[in-house]
Amino acid sequence: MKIVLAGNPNVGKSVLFSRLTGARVIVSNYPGTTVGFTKGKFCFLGMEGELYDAPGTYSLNPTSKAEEVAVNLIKDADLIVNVIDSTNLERNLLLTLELVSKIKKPFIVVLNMWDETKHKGVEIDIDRLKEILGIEVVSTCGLTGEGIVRLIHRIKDAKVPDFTLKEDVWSFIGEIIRKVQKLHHRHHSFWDAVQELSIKPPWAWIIALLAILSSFQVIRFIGEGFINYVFDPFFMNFYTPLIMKLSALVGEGNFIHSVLIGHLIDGRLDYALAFGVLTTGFYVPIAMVLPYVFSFYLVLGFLEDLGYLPRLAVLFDRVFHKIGLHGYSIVPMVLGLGCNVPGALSTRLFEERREKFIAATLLAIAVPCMAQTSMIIGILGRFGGQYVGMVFFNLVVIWFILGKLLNRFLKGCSPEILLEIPPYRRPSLIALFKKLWIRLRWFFSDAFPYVLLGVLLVNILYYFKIIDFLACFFNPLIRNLWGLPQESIGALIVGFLRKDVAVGMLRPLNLTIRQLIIGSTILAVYFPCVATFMVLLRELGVRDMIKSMLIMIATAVITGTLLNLILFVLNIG
Amino acid sequence: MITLIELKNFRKALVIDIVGGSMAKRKLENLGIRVGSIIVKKGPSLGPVVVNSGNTQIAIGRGLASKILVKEL
Repeated sequence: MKIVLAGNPNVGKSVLFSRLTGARVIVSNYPGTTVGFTKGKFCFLGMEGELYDAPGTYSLNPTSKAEEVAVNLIKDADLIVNVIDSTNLERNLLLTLELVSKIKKPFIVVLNMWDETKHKGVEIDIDRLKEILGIEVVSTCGLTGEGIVRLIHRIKDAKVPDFTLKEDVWSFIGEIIRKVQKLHHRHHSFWDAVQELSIKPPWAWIIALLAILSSFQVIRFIGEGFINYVFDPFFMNFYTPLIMKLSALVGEGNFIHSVLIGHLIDGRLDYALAFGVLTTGFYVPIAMVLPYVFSFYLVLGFLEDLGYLPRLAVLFDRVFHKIGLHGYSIVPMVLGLGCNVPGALSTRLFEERREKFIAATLLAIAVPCMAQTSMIIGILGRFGGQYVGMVFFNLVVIWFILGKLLNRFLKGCSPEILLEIPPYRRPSLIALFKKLWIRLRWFFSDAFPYVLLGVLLVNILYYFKIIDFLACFFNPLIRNLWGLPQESIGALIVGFLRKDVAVGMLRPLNLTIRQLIIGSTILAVYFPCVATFMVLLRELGVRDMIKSMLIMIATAVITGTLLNLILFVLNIG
Repeated sequence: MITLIELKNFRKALVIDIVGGSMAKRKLENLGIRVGSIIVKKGPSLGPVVVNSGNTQIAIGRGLASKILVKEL
């Protein structure tokens, strides 16, 4: 049996899904969190089957790829659980009525976020609604789990609706609302006040500035704290002695030693320089990247659950318009700052091919993932924060100029924002950590192996002298235009696999600060890592992906050269 | 009758007409904005127009907002 959770965006389908299946899915407070479907097994009251968490949709005529996924799932379902935001009954009923009149399948309506109706002064007569629609209606609160048991018991009672829409859909909805819903007056709450301020300039800008700056500070504070007080001491005091014993056992100088442990310098181990699978291969992801990934997702999760992202989207709408996008493109960009893969996936929210292309290309080129960012901080930060800042400044400039160019030369026009802004909600700590855990697990299962593979690749490249061969070949570009030593080709090759390892490879090359700035910028720009590449290929299609790749390579060549010139003229680094 | 752009902030209005393509109309309708709905403009003066419609808050791009004709209540 196939049960599909269907409903408008941001009504809490994913929360119910994880309640019903125990499966872990990302849940946030903004429309469009789920862009693909998640499948989970359920087994209750003797019923067995699959439960599908569909992306939100407003109607059966899809306008984006995410909605298309939802509509296809609905058409394949054996039973539909239509999830409704109880505080927005009127609007949600539009899809409900469309579903019950067009899709003849067992059907059950869930009035989710039932707890919020009380604060909002909404009173709904469930029995009356049941009577009018002729189907089961259950109230739930996904976050607390209230009503879930009731829902499970009612699923088997789900009937095929016997319903035909006789009149205009809106006048019918109006009639239903008059019969089942009562609105009570309520006083403005604290959240209402914040809500109004956070879209009203100049307060909106002040709040945004504070939110962004404090996010940076918190990410840095937690990230650095973990590195300095947990991971570095752990590696130095416990891991290094272990590795040194192993090193003595294997004996320096052979291939196995250089793959596993790498190069010791005067008999001492420097994790940034050794480049063995067990040394740098573990140190980079765990002691350099993980602390920042952890703190980034903690902060992002908080902002997501609070419901701040749609407000940022409204605020930045005008900026995005200049580059052919609209404000909601902030979602792929912000997600991309964590990892480009979910960022690329979220371009499914867009309707136009042009919009998708611009967003995906800018994401791949100018939005460094947290793994890369933490390595840039680790390597450039030693010389001063201003140099890290310079890399980011470069990326912002590239992002904007490239966006303007794409907007200018691609046919078509910028679409307009039309976005539901959810109310602020108090983030639940449990939900926050559940989400963090999902993302960190992904880091360990999908990123960590690639890091090890990347370090292994470094060894193979050097051992078989492939680096030397390619270095000669690319010498004119790398040395003459970018001013980097020809060995940096190694970083560019490994960057296809993992950007963090690639940035780490700049470290043993003894580069000047200027070269590090140029190298870090180019490594961000020139090509996405393989995981992102695969997603982009699927989302954009072969033709657009080739176009996008050409833009990436051109951008890398041009910006590398310009940066080399500008930094030389300004005598920086 | 004025456009949604011209409506002053924090004023309530009735939607009289939406002069747009069927796609634009449908998308607005999905969010509960159609001829006959009552909305409250929440601002801001720059960027997209934000309106409340029932318990839903919606951001509407300025181009689209200029196609929504309203009567202040």
